[in-house]
Amino acid sequence: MKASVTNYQVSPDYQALLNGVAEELKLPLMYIARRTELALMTHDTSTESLRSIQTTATSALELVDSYLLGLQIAENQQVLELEPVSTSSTLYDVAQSLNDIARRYDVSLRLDLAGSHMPVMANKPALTSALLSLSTAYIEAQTPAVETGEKRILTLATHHVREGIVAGIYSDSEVISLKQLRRAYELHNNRARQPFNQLSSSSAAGLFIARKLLQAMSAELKTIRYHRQSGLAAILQPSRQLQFI
Amino acid sequence: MARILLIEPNRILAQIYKDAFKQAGYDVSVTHDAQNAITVSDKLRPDLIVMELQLVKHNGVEFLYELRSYPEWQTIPVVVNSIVPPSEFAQNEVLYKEIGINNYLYKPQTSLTELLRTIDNVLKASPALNS
Repeated sequence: MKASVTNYQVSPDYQALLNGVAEELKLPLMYIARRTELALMTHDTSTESLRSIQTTATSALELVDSYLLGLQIAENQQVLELEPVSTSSTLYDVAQSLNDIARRYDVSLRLDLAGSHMPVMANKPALTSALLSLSTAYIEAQTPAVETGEKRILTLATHHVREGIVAGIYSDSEVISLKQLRRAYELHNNRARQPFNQLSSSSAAGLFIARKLLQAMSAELKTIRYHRQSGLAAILQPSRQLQFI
Repeated sequence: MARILLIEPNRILAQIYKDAFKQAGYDVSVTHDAQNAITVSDKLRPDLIVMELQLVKHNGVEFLYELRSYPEWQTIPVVVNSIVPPSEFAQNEVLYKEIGINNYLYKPQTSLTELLRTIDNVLKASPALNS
């Protein structure tokens, strides 16, 4: 019986993203391989050791799922329904999901949700996935303050700007310029292994996945300054339906 | 007890390598970026550097050029344990030899056992430690 072959082409954008995801997945897989090897060498069967492997594997699976969600939306296999979504509650959920990985990377996560209560037009699973991917990439890029060894602080925040409602992640230490971000996009599209050298030693695939998911909702990922912090955030449009309530 | 300086940008991988090196009896210091590695090297006076080439903000190769410009660091052995793939390393092999990379290991496929074996061999062959 002949196999039926569909002539299937992934867009160049998603080919670049797949390349980035494949590179990025080396890190959690290396961690799991080396962590288990170390545990065997040292006879370490502690809960902490097993939990760290679990957290790493979970984070890697989330990355894969975010990529697949973006791909399915891009290929219209999944209809992107937009509805009024609360950025505050979405960021709250994202923060809960990030607790374990933030602890692993010794990063202190803060929530600043006081800035906006107006819902935005978005797709909740896609927005959650985008913010989770972006935030995970940010957390994994953090290294401790050299002089003091203090924890890095990352803030998940939502607030108003002239163009709309912002939801994103901010750092007290990293300052990323728009020029650097644009350069990172170029390098990513050219399948550079380390497109965002200023921020990350890895392919930072989560950041580019977030960008794709946000683009599907007609939202942009931009560099934003907020309360003396600098970060990356999505600018979303308020829900007109609920503006009059 | 030999002293190792580990330059590894990923924090959780750095912890595993540090634990493995300590388990093997080495004294280990860790830095996550090249910017501080020269300062740390001066304080620690390592016998060996184990490093990733793909760093944040700075380039591992540039760091090695800078390190080798100091007379006291011209002969310190360097083991590269890197995510840079073998094909790319091979393209720049002459350059890497020029800046004194003693060994190259491809990190995704190098077990802790193999890394420790390489470190042991490099240290045994090191003139500074054997004099």
